[in-house]
Amino acid sequence: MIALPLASLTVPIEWVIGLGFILFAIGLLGVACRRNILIMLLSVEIMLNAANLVLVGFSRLHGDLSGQVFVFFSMTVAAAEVAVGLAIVIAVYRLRRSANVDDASDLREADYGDVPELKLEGEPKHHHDDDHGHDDHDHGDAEPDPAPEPAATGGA
Amino acid sequence: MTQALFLIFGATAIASALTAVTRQNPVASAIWLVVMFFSLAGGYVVLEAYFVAAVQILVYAGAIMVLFLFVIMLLDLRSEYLEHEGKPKLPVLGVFASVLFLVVAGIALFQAIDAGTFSGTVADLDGSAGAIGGAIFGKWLLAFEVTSILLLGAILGAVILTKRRLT
Repeated sequence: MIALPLASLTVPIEWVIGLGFILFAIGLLGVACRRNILIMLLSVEIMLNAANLVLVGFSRLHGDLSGQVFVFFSMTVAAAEVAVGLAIVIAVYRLRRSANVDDASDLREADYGDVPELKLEGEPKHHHDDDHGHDDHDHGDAEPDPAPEPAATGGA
Repeated sequence: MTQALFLIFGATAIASALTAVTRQNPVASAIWLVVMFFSLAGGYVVLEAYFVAAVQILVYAGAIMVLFLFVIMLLDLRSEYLEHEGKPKLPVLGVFASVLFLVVAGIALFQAIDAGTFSGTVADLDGSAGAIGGAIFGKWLLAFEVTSILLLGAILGAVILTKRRLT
């Protein structure tokens, strides 16, 4: 262990805390402004590293090793978070074929912005429109009687 | 000398973090984040937390980043997707939240400096592996054991979440 000869040569704790704040703000920016879920997870890692840096700084200031032990626990939490988070990313990607968080917003409030509609199979609207157009065409014809019968048998 | 080193490492960390957050390609983002992890490890060395610095490189730059790169390449995101990522709903609010955090934290920091919170002498601290090990397996033994349960839960969660169907 190399002890520094003068206390004035050591790094001021304010710099460490300031660097931690700036890194945390960058991570917050990434989480808030990016839509790629992988980059959002990376930004969370930046924020965790900022917290680790401040922990090490205070551990140095107070001469207490507990801060550095907490950094190990924080790294363990980060590893667990990455494992579970990436598993969720893979599961969502398998479902949606996309890594964009806006494509997986089914649980969001319906009245906020434009929510992608769930595509249901066999939509009734298109069928109804088709029937309506067919009806109009029949009315336009001069002879009403023979036309509906083949259409009805074809439909049945 | 020590302060200059810390400034260099800190500036590198900030620059690489900003670059990582703004990259379009997740692979480039991950590589820039490795640069940030290394510069933070340098900062830990300057702060005389040697074992934390070693573990930072081993765990973060080694294990976690490799996991990230594996998943990024497994997903195989198309380039046409990367070009139009889609705008965030309210990008101004994200920037506002970030700047607001910096302002509030900066005010708190300067008030603490004015109040003389950090005026105490910097204590001498042994950041070697032996000292850390003594703390982990002594005072924090129970927390260390609970950590293993957390990791077990994470492993089970990752396996179950990525399984196609549970039979």
